[in-house]
This record gives sequence, C-alpha cells and structure tokens, in this order.
Amino acid sequence: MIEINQLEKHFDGKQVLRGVDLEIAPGTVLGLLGQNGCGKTTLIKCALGLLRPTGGSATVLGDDAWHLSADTKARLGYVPQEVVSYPWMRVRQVIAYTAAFYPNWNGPFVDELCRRWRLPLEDRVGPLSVGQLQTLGIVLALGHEPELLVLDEPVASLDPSARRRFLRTLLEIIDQPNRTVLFSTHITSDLERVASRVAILREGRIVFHGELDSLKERVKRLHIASRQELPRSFSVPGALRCEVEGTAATVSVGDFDDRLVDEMQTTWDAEVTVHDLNLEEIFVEMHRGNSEFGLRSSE
Amino acid sequence: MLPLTLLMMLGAAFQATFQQGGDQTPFFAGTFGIGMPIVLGVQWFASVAKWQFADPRARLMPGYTWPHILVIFTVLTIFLVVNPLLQAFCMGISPLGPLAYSLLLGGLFLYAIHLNRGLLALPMLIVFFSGMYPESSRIWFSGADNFQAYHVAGIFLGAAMFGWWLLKLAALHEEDEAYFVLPLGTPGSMSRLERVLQGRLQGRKASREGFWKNSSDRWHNRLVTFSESPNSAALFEYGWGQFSFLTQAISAGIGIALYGIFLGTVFHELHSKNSENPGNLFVYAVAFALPAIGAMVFLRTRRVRMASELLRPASRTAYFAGLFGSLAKWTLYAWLSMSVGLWVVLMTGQRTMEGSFTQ
Repeated sequence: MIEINQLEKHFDGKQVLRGVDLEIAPGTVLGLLGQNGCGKTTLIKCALGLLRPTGGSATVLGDDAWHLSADTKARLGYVPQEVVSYPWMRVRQVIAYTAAFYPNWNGPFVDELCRRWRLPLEDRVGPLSVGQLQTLGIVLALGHEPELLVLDEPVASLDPSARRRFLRTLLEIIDQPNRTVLFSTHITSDLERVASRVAILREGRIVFHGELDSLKERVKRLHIASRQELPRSFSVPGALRCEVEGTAATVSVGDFDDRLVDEMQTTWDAEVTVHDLNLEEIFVEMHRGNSEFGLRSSE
Repeated sequence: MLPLTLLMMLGAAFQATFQQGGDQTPFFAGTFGIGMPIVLGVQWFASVAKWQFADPRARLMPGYTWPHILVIFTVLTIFLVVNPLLQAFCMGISPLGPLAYSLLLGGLFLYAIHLNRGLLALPMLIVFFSGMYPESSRIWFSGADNFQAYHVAGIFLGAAMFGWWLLKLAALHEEDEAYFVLPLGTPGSMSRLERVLQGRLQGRKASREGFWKNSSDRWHNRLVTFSESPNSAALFEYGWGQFSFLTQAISAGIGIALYGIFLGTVFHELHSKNSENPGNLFVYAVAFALPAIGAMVFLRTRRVRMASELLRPASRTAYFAGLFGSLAKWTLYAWLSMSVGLWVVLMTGQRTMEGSFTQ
C-alpha cells in the first residue's frame, strides 16, 4: 500500500527525516508513534505527496507520492492534524462539496456518522469547536470508504465519548477486507486497541517497526534484588534505563532475552523479576535521556 | 510600509516648503503629505494594534492594556496630529485645515478598519478624495478663514473618533462584533499559534449570520444536488469565499475601477492640464493588471485548504488546471466589470470635471 525508501526531508537546513524506510502492507493497521517534533506529520505528508521529500522516495498504491493519480486518490482518505475547512459554509454544505468530488460517495453512511457523532449540520464551520472540526474532518475522509485511511492524530481534540465512538467506527472499518490504516497518535491506549503493528519514529528515523506484541516482548522492566550492595557502576548491556539504590536496581531493557535473567541472577546473586510494560511505558522508556533503541522488526 | 509612509510625509513637506502657494501644493499635501500616509501607514499600524487586543493575553496578562494603548496613542498622534502641523508649517498656512483633514480622515479610517463595514468607508473616501481635487482641497489647505468653523468641528469629530477607537480597543473582548474583524498583523512575524488563532477568527467572522451570509446559502445549497462530473470546472468556482463566484468577481472589478479613478486623478494632477494627458491610458494600464493581481491574492487565501483539496480524486495537473481555470474566469469577469465601471465614470467625468479628465 505504502512504500517509503530512504526518505529524507529537511526544512531550512534542519534535518527532520533521516532516511526513513517503511512498508505498509494491505490490510495492516499501523500506529505511528513518536515524540512531539520527531517528524510524524512530516513523514505522513511526504508519503501523501503534500510535501516534497529532499531525498528518497515514497509510493502509494503503486503511484509515486508526488504524482498520485485520480484513481489512487479516490481510494485514499486523509485526516490532517489540523482540519482546515470553509468557515463560511454550513457543515452539510461542506459535506456536499466534498461528496461532489467522489463518484462513490456513500451518503447514507455519512448521514449515519453525522447522526452518531452529533455533528450540527446546519451550523457554519467557522464557529465549530476544535473537536467538532476534527470530527468533520474524519467524516469527510470516511465518506468515500477509502481503502487506505491516513489519520494524523485524529482524536487529539475529541472528548472521551467521541473518541470511543470514533474508535468503534474505526474497528468496523478495519473489519472490512483490504482496509489499511495508518494513524499517528499520542494516545497509546487507543493504539493498543486498534493497531496490529507499530512504527516508532525517533530523531527522524524508524527505530522500531513490527508487531505490537513483538515490541512488548522486547521491552521489559526488570527488578533486581541482590543480597549485597550493588556497585554504582552496575549496568546491563543494552539497557534503556538503569537505576540503582542500595541492593536493588530497576532496569528497562529494549531487547529482552530469557538468558539475561539467568545471567543477572548468576552474576549478581540476585532475584530478578520481569515486568511487562504497556505501550505508554515502553514509549517513555525508549525516549529517556540517551537511551539507544535499535531497529529489529519482526515479520 | 513605515519607511514609505515617512518618505511621503517628508517629501510632501519638502515640496510644500519650496513651493508655498503653488498650484500643486494642496494636492501634494492632501495626497502624499496626509492622505496616503493615513491610508498606508495608519491602516497598517491600526491593524497591528488590533491584533494586539484581539487576543486572550490582552485580557489575561496583568499590566498589558495601558502601556500598549500608550504606544498606539503616541504613534498615531504623530501621524494624525504632528504630521499635519508639520505640513501646515511648511505650507505657511493655518494648521486648522490640515489638522481637521487629518483627524477626520484618520478617525473615519480607524472606525472603518475596526468594524470593516463597507458603508463606513464611504465618508472616509469622500474626505480622502476631497483633499485631492483642486476645488475641494481648498477647504482644507487654503488657509482661508471662512472655513474655520468647519475645521474646528472636524478636529473635534476626528479627535472624538480617535479617542473612541482607543477606548474600544482597550475594552475589546470576544463578544464584541469588532473582535472578529480580521486584524491583519505582520505575516512574517506571526507565530504558528497566532496564525491558527487568526484563522479561527477569520472563520468566525465569515460565519456570522446576516443578510450577506444567508444570501450565500443559495449559492452553496446548489452543492447538495450537484450532478456534474467530479472534475467539472463548476466545482472549482466554490471554495473561494462566501459569495457566489460572479458576485465576488464583479465586486472586485468595481472596487478596482474606483481605485483606478483615484490613480487617474493623481496622474491628472501630476501633469499639466494643457498638455496631452495620458491619464486615462495610465489608469487603464494599471487597472488592467489589478484583476490578475487580485486573483493571485485570492489564490493565496486558498493555500491553507490546498493540503486537503490536493488529495481529492484529481491528478495534481487537473487540480491546478481547474483552480487556475476558475481564477482566469474570475479575472475576466473582474476585468469586464472594471472596464464597464471605468468607462461609465470616465464618460461622466469628461462632461462634469474641470480640466477634462480624458483630454
């Protein structure tokens, strides 16, 4: 669906994307995670041909991203981070205007979404709240039932009930065959509910791309309780974080292996307890200080 | 903007000093000494000042309001009070006339900018143009005593409007209608947050109910039953603004025609009335380009929506072809209505104005 090869992008000398490689197969729901300013929106915009990359290439449904054909665009839906619409039009007029461009627009489906998400059809777009505007953006992106849906922080401004309604709709969409979704979000719990694969962008590079379960298998937190005082120099190879306090230590590792537990038990004469982390905790651990986290994706 | 404005003011003062009592002196004083600095400099500065107050920080930050008002008052006083006094001194006439012209024009201008009502611009334009025509400019710049009462009244009225504007600015809040009048700001210096806030203000302003907004419903309701193909050129006539495509183009054309008349007047005054006056040619030459320039400005306002529009099912080439096609059509309509407007005024002016405008 989407193929990105060695994609680079810089703005006025500031390098934002540094050789990104990413492939999204049909039927995938990929969550794109990253800190603020790491390049998620830039990556999405380069992939959709809204920004021209300074290096590398991107293709969408077989077309070069910068020269997407009309047919490809008809199969694609995009919800930007900031929805900009026509403030003088009423909501129903904006929907009608967008529908006029798509021969396969599903009017009854859109009506149902507007009813479900309580969009005020007679209100003008200008005074809509940020959340309502974002809801409108989502409706406009879903109306033609795209095969590829790209969402850039779609729920950032939605209230909890609106967010749940949106996720429910998204799950219904995903259930349909050959639907592919790429979405970036900071709300990791949503990603855990919906996404099958995760890509983590850090400092302009993909540092992880694979199954969500695989990521959870790799990143673990270890509690080490030794019988003797642990030295200040205590460390674990490949640790993301290491905190020592007397005879105890807490270590987060990015590439967990059962042998590590045995090794530590033997070396430090300690009890080692392994804790699973949720996606939010994994994200925080990966972005602590100088922690290094390399790419190894599972197929 | 400010350097150009200062240049005009000083240039007019220089001209007045060395050509006291000359035929062209009132014209230069009215146009370049006072009128244009207000149109360019005060307009820009007042818009920036508006931006300072159409912002939550104006109501939330302690000690914000009065220091800002003081700066605004000081700068505008230079334009509206100190400058006309300088011009009067250089011309060697009583300061009452230039001061009245400046304060009245400035007050009306501030009022018009603050509320952005087309009708309010009419008295402003009348005062503005009165400073340029030979007969009317004598009211302000001849130094004659028989207009003193009018000058004093103009000074009080202009000063009252100036003061009213400052007070309204200091008390501006979101429920004020004027809050939504788009403050122009300085694009290069605006942060991303300021641009987002400005965009939202624009949206709320554009969506206020009223006769004009409701009349746009007829135009946009056609979209509900739109039956032409998705790549139809007609679709690209939407999305430019709240009014119908034709209304916007014709309005722009008429506006350009009025501007062309002003330029023609300026050019007419700069050349001897006895020699062949290419004024009408100059007007037409400049005005000819303005619809196209207006179309480019129009395009700029659509830029923010292009990210979503580019992903509609049309190739990049087809999208821009449709966009520029509708702009070309807009330019043509604007040019035609401008031409008709100019022709009507020029033909009328030929019969009524002294020193035939078209000779």
